[in-house]
Amino acid sequence: MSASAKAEKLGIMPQIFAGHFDRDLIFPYPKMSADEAETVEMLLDSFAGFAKRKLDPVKMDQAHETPPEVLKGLFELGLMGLAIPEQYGGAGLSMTAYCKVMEAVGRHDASLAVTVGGHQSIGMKAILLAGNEEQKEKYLPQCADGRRIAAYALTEPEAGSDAGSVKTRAVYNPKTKSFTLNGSKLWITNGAIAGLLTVFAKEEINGKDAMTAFIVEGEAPGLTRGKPELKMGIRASNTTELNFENVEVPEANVLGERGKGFKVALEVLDYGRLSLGAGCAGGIKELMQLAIGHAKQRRQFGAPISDLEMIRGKIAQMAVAAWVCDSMVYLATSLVDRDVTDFSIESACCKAYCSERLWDAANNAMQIVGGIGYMTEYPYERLMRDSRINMIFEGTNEIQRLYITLAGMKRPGDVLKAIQKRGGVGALVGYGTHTMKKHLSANHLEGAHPSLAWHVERIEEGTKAFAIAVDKLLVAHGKKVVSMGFLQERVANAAIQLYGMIATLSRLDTLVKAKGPEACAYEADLTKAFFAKAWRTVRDELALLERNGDARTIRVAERAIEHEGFKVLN
Amino acid sequence: MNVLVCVKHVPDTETRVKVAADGLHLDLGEANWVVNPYDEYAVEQGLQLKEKLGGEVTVITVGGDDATKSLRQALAMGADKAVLCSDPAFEDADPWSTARILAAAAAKLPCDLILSGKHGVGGDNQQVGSLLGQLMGIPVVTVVTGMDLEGTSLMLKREIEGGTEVVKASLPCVISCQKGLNEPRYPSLKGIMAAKKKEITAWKAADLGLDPATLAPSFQLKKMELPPPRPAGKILSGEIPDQVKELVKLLHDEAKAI
Ligand SMILES: Cc1cc2nc3c(=O)[nH]c(=O)nc-3n(C[C@H](O)[C@H](O)[C@H](O)COP(=O)(O)OP(=O)(O)OC[C@H]3O[C@@H](n4cnc5c(N)ncnc54)[C@H](O)[C@@H]3O)c2cc1C
Ligand SMILES: Cc1cc2nc3c(=O)[nH]c(=O)nc-3n(C[C@H](O)[C@H](O)[C@H](O)COP(=O)(O)OP(=O)(O)OC[C@H]3O[C@@H](n4cnc5c(N)ncnc54)[C@H](O)[C@@H]3O)c2cc1C
Repeated sequence: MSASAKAEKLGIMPQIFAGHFDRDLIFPYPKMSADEAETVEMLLDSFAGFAKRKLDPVKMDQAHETPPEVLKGLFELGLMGLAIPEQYGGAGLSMTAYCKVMEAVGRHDASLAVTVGGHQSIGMKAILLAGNEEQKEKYLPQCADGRRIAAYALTEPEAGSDAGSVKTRAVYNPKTKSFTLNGSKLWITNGAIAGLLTVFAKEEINGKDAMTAFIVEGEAPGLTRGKPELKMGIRASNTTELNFENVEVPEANVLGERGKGFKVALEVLDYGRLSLGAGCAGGIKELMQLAIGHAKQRRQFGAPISDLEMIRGKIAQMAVAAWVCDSMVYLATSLVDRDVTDFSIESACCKAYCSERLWDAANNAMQIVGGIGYMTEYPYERLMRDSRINMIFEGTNEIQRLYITLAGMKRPGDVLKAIQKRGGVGALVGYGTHTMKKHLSANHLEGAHPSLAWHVERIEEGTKAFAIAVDKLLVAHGKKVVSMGFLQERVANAAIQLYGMIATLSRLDTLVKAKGPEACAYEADLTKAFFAKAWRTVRDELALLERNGDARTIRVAERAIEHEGFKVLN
Repeated sequence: MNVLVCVKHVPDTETRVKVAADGLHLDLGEANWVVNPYDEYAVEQGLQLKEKLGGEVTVITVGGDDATKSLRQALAMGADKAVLCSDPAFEDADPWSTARILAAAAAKLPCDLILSGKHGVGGDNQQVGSLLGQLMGIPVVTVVTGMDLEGTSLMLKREIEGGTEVVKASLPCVISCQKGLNEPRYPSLKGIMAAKKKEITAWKAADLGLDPATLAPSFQLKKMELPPPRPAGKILSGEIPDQVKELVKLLHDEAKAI
């Protein structure tokens, strides 16, 4: 599925849907090379120094703007060309290193992470993935050194989650060898400051509408930009509408194949969601530190509130969340670095899970600090506002869940289809039950440290039940799963938890093997704390697939929708 | 102009230190080690001179292998070369020995100007720069906050109690740098990557023609201790007039403040 010409290599999760463990991808937990780790450490020191002197998140939030000198500083530091190969003027960092940097940026200021991410996680990513040599040579150096800030323009007034339905038109003119673009884009990050736009538009190819990706230069005549939107959070990031009125784009600026633009659009977001996840992990750590700092010095009832169990419970929740998010993100980024071509399910898991844990953490921090958290003089309300967007953009979390389930079920679905063709319904039933069960019982996750046998068992039993459930759903519903939202949500919830279990086990296992079980007692507690809930969630979500109150839920919603609100008998 | 910049690898000032069990060393187990902040002004000044006048900036340190981290940092800022003076005989070097090591190294390097920080945080001896100038027989100007080149001389600004002093010194000389001299740059990612390709020269006592026996410390450290912990505050209770009386009494008898 990659636009680059790599041989297909599946990630961990597509195989979990079929009940398989890809041991080599799971163990050991990956690590940056010493050389790259040093680069990242030094860069983060530089960034910390820069941030201390030049960045004021409060002022930026109030001004709804990132000062130009901050942007200039980011370019000078080299933070805007992290993922661009050295030959094009960037640093050529691995995905893992890139995300480590984005985590630190996100931790310092979410707005800044959105600006930086809008530029290179998504804005210019399509050039890296699908651009040809001329396009790379022409544009990437300009993106790395600050001549052009990039933006990714997919969303439209009538094409949000349903991004495939964009209406911006591209018409090819063979005489001028160029395209004419008309339409408008909505809520584009860096919209007003971008000098390079990746724009997705529809054109007619062989009588059919298909999406094509274009590079549009900021100075193109006919391109106009709306006023910066006033937002709830990440205010210093720039979000605008873009209008295209007969914007001429040379044929040389088509990204990838004509008609294959949607694939490019989606693939870009696979990467973007990983850096988004990393930024969320950074945010959780920041909130933890702030809230704990307060809790230790705030005294009520004669003692610091950090002594209270109900406060400690929240602190522990944040610590576990940080551990799990970290583990999930950097296992997924390592898939990219190990040339896995299909990491989109892991990426969606990271996006949904980390953004939700960040929101929890913002809520927990606010609750721990009490009244001051609500005051704009303190950072908590801003961090809460900034956190919220992550569950919406780069594909809402509902869309992530839908995607996890449908993409995950695709391969088992193909297998079933093949069997159906050969042996009809009888074979199907056999496949769905006995064969599968027998087959699955032979699948073990081998290679973990003996002290982690309990964890391995939970993963094995969860994965087995999960894969069997997936098959049963396919047999029972076939293609209908595409419109079954509750089902999608449950399968995805189970998948996310399984991925979290695998990621934390992998990380703990590698630590235990290197340092011995005693030295890793804290990490073992974090992992166990996560597992204790996660394996039950998997079990419960799967059980709910069979016995649930969905019919009632739908009745309750339907009535409310009909009356457009709350209406009951007096 | 070729500039030699002396840098020291020191624990971050935000590190919480403990005195080790022997009472003679600091327990810096979890410390974050950084370039001595005053040395960053020196590196920046060297780079600015190079950018204006050409030449090379060489950074030098006396320290263990871990001190390469600080050299890398200076290289990433833009220094051209780095020298690590490292030898078991240098381990407990006092300021005098450190200056001798640096002087021996400087003699082997092209340098028109030697820059250092006004002092190294942690040790706080404020001696090395001055001793180095003495050993080399060249002028020394300390605690400099401004620098201009005039022909072959430097016009240097020093902040003194209640005012500023302007000093003219001829090259070569040793200058110790103070906050305010400039704003040190942050290594950019490009600089960091480039620094990896720059070589760090390692010199031992023998390379510098130094006899380890002569490097023994000239004074002995007897004891290190942290300031005594602050005793817990007292909260008075009772009627306000009584509290006031009690407070005056305590301030007089216990705190001896009045
Ligand atoms: C601050 C900000 C910055 C942005 N930056 C960019 C950018 O740089 N580039 C860009 O192209 N876009 C950008 N966007 C747009 C963003 O990606 C969209 O807002 C997002 O994809 C959701 O689309 P929508 O807002 O139209 O919501 P809708 O699609 O209208 O969704 C509304 C609700 O319906 C749910 N829903 C929709 N379809 C389904 C389904 N099939 N199953 C279940 N639930 C469903 C959604 O989850 C959501 O809860 C940005 C948005 C914001 C707010
Ligand atoms: C907008 C606003 C309006 C307000 N209006 C009024 C008003 O009109 N009049 C008025 O008198 N006050 C008012 N308040 C104050 C409000 O009632 C307090 O903020 C609230 O009681 C919490 O106290 P605190 O903020 O000091 O938090 P803290 O008491 O510091 O609590 C911090 C955290 O510790 C937890 N905690 C504390 N003790 C325990 C315990 N024993 N066990 C478990 N957890 C514990 C709390 O639940 C909280 O999570 C207002 C506050 C706000 C923000």
